Amino acid sequence: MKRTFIIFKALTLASLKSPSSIFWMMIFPVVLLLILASIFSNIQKSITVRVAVVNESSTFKNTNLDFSSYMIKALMNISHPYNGKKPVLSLKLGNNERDFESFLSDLKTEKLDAVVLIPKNFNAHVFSRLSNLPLNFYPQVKIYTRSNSQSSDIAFSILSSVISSLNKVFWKRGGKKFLSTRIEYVGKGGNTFSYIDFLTAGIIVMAFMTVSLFGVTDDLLVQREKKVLKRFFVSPITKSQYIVGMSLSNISLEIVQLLLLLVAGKMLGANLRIDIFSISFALYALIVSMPLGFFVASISKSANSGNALANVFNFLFMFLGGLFFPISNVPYFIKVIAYSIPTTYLANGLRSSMGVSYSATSTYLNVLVPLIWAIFMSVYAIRHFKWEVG
Amino acid sequence: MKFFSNFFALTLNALRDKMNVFFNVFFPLMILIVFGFVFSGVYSPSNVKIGVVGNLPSVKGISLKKFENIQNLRKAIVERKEDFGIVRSATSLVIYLEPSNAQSNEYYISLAKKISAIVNEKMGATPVIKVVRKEVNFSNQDLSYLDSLIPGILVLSIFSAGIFSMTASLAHLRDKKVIKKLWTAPIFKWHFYGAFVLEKVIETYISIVFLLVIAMITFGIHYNVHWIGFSILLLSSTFGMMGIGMIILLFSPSAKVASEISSVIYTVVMFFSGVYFPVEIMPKFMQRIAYSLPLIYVVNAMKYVFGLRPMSKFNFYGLIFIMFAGFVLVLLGFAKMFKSE
Repeated sequence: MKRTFIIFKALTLASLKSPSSIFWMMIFPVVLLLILASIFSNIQKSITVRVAVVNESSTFKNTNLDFSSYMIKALMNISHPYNGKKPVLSLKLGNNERDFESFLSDLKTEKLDAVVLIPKNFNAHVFSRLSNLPLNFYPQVKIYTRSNSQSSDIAFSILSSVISSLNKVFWKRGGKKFLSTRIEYVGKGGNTFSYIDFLTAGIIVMAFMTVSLFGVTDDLLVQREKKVLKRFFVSPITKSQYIVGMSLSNISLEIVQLLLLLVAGKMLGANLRIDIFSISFALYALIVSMPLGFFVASISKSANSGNALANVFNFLFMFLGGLFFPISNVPYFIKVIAYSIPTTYLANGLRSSMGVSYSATSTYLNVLVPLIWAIFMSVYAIRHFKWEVG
Repeated sequence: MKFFSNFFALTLNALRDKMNVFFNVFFPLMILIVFGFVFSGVYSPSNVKIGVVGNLPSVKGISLKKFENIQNLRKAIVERKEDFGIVRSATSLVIYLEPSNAQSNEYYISLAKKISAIVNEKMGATPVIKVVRKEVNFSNQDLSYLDSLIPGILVLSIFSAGIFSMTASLAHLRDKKVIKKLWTAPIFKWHFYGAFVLEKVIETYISIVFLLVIAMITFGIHYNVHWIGFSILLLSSTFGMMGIGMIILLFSPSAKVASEISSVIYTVVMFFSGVYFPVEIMPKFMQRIAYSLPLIYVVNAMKYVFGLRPMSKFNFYGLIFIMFAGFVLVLLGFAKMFKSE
């Protein structure tokens, strides 16, 4: 016991004295949480999209049949700061083809997110439709967006909502029946869901995994190459005492890391349920992540190859485990990999236990799959890890 | 002659170095393939799974799966069996979304509204004002999200190859005292450093072209690549990134520290490069950070040579000049300050 404690103390102090360990273990996950939380909460809350409207409509100008001006007024209303929040739109106006060409060029060069074109006889066409005149006029508003652009998608969504509201006003006045659309979020957080909740739980799992992958693997392999391990076992320290001491050292550092991430998450506004169940699952995730480093060390011939393999595991487990964003719309074989790896289940389990979201996988699988991985990796590491290099 | 001897020796060393091959070819290839498959289905209606309750008309290119009741639909959404759901009641159409799909929900809403418009039209509520969406892009090609992602992934590979070639390879040679031993031989410093830089530049060029070809074959992408511009940009940005690697190396006592500093810089800069997250959706302070880093300009220039976005010739060649000039300046300082022991 005493020897285990000595190993534990020595390795913990070594980690605390190492700037790189401190950075990767304590600072990096918090910085990553800050960066991703800033980006995603910005998308959810306060993005201002850049829109240009070209109003070519020339009929019924300055009359109460100037429908294009109502539309522009509605857009202008949301292009001012409201209740201390940033405006929804940043609006530019134009009224001729030259303006349109210039705005379209700006859209292509990412200076604008959408361009709205109100055609020449727009007001007359709207009037004829509302008056049920037997003319085949169909007022159209063209919204030009940039393909594969998130900000363009958001701009389109806002603009089409404004036009849709106008249509509803027309329908109501015309006594027409219609279905209005409403958005409802499913999941535990429902409408109060914040992406930071989702992210914090994912980054906790990432942090556990990276400490094991890079910390344990590097410690074992570098110490083996430098023959430190060989020298250790000349002393009366047994291999199991060493492993237990090392594991305890990593576990204690990861508990500090967990606390730091929870504090950072709370400071960023994460709404996480911290109770005996969620803390137990977090500790479970921490323990079952530990064998990953031992496993990678046991299949690596050198510290360099260990580092390369750790990078491969880290990348696959991080991105396919859905730690930062859910994995959806992917080919079947990617889904098979995603549902075979432990991080998917650990992230699902932790999010569920923290009240962030319902788990896509059952609690039973969230416990069992990582446990099977942990047992397999531990048994493999015990059998195959070479304590000395030839 | 001595220059070429060094060059061939370093080339052989690079080819034999499994780690070098791994981090220059295999690892970027893995990132490209995985991200390629993960993102290839994004923003494609045929890949979106929509669960519905109530009578909804069929929409071309979109498949709808019927559910008996709202509870089953909600369950399927939270279990991620369906991407989102639509429930039709007498007076409304409710769109059910999983809130954690922050990146995709806006797209799902636009699909749901498309369906809503069709339903209303069938009920006789034809919109008085019809909205027609027209998608444009600089290349006038039909591009997927993946098409615009690949040039960015290539730039990140150039960035990692450039900085790690200095902080891993050169620092490693210094730590193993190979450079010190070389100075006992009758060669000039430029014979070695020149050969080292040339070998790394050629290596990066080949690996990036290899990645591009694999991406084009695997995902069936056809770019109108301006090959001369691409080559000039690839060479200049590799030089520029090597310059950053040199600066890191000057402040690092060992290869391990240099590699760790590079990893930190690479990871942080990656988020600000505009490759995975468009800069325009970031908060203002993050946009300022992004625009003060060189990577975003190289990504834009790469998209330009791929025909995906415009760039003035002045900006393009200005960037090339800055990359080369920056490298030369750093090299001059490096030659004076770098300690081979």
